[in-house]
Amino acid sequence: MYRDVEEMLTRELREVADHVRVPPLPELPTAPPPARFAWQPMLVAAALVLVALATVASLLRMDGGQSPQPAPQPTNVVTDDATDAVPESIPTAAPVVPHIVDGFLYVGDEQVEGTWDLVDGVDTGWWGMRDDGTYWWGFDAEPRRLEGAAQQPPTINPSGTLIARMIGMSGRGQLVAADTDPAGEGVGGPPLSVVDDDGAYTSVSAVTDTGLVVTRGAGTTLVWRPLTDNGTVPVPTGFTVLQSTLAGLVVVEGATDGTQGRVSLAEMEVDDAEISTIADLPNFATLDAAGDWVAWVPPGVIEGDVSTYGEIQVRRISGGDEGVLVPPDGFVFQNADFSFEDNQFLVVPVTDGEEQGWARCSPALQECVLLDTPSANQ
Amino acid sequence: MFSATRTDPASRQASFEEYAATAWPTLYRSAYLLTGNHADAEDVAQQTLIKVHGAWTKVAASDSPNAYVRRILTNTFLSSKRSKARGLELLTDEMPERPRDLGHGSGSAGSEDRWALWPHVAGLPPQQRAVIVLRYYEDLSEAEIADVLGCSRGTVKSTAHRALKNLRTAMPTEGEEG
Repeated sequence: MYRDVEEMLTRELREVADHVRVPPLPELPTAPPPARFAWQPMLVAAALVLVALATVASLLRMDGGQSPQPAPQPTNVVTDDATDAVPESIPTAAPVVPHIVDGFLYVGDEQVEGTWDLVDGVDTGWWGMRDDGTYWWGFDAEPRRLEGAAQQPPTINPSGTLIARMIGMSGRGQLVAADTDPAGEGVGGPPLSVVDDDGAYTSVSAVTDTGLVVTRGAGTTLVWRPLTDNGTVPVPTGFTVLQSTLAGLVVVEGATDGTQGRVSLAEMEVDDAEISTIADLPNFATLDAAGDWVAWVPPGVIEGDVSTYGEIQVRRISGGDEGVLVPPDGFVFQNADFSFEDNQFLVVPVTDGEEQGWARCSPALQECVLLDTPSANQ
Repeated sequence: MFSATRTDPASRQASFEEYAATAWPTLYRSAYLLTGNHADAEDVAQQTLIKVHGAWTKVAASDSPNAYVRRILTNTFLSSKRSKARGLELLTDEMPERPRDLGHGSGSAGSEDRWALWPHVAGLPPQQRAVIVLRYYEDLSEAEIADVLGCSRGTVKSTAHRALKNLRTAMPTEGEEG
């Protein structure tokens, strides 16, 4: 069908490669260099500012104003049989959270238009990235474009009620947040540096169900209250907030990621951002927590080029009942984020080497089952 | 060259440096095809070598070090693109470097006229571009590409289909050529 294009591609790619003048082999460092941002023309910067301002204006128009409102109530996202008791069995219905199968995004029982690389949130509030790099959000299966160029993806709170992001590509950018309720509003936050001299980008590391937006990077770590007084306070010294989970915030002391330092589950006061640690958590490469349970993959297992892995560690947040989750027979876990869909069940992308699918796992039963997703039914 | 029996640090280091010197031109060319410009190609190729160095024991012991390194290169490209440049590309609609810039602006007169598709390849979304480069430059099968990208063959097939469709749409018609 595309033979003409294919023949041209084969010829042109080889010719382009042959014409590339290869620079000398660089001195081989033993540590990663700071990220280098190669092109920042002034016209682009000016356009970015305009787009950023337009985005804030667009967000603010969602409800015709920007007056602070109370934090929305968390959305109930538990599965029908989810309780804190040990489940008798593991349901095999498709995940109740938005999920991607072979590029197709499913929200609820519906397929969302487009092809997708990333999604996070719950059915009543989610964001996703299409394979063309554009960001979208929704409160149902209809995607809505998140306008404005950004260096970092958005972040959504565990209950899916509030999305926050840093917009802007260089220089000064702006924090913005939007309530995912159909009648919700957008709020423009403080201007911040998009990237610092070391190449660290400002991003939203966590959004809480109490309406707090926590940033990190570019020398700025602060807590913004978009839904109450629009004020900001610094993140308490010594803490780095890594993510928000159904069980609480994941914070680390003495490090900037979960692979080292002291990792804890914590709560943050709305007024002054004071952090109270609830329980110690393990060091991790990826982790999620809900109810009584924490699930994690230890550092070193899924770094770099690893595309699949074979085990997820689990234990009660308070300690005890340690175990290992393994994928259903014939499958391996895919190196992509897993998440608790409620206090009992974890959903994890899996593959048999041919097709993608999803598994639902119970830490209490230490068992995973393959779910009835489109690929699994093929 | 990739013998797993050379495990003392000195010989391992020498082996990596030998590999890096040999692989650098190939690595760089692939990085250029993926990124479409020299600045990003240098970043991606260099970061790939850093990762290879960190995982050298595994790379050297691998049945296919080149496949291992190709996977690192591609994933380095995809992860860097997702976090950095996509929004900028979307905002500016700026075409990638013209073919005459292939030698850092030193000129390769006339070559751009032969390359009707290359500017559009470099403008594809990263995942589509990766599939195109792996398929038509690296000459990998769908299964091999799926292994590199950590996705299913179905995803490779659909991604390639979308990429070819985009390129066909972008191809100049006969009346526009020449």
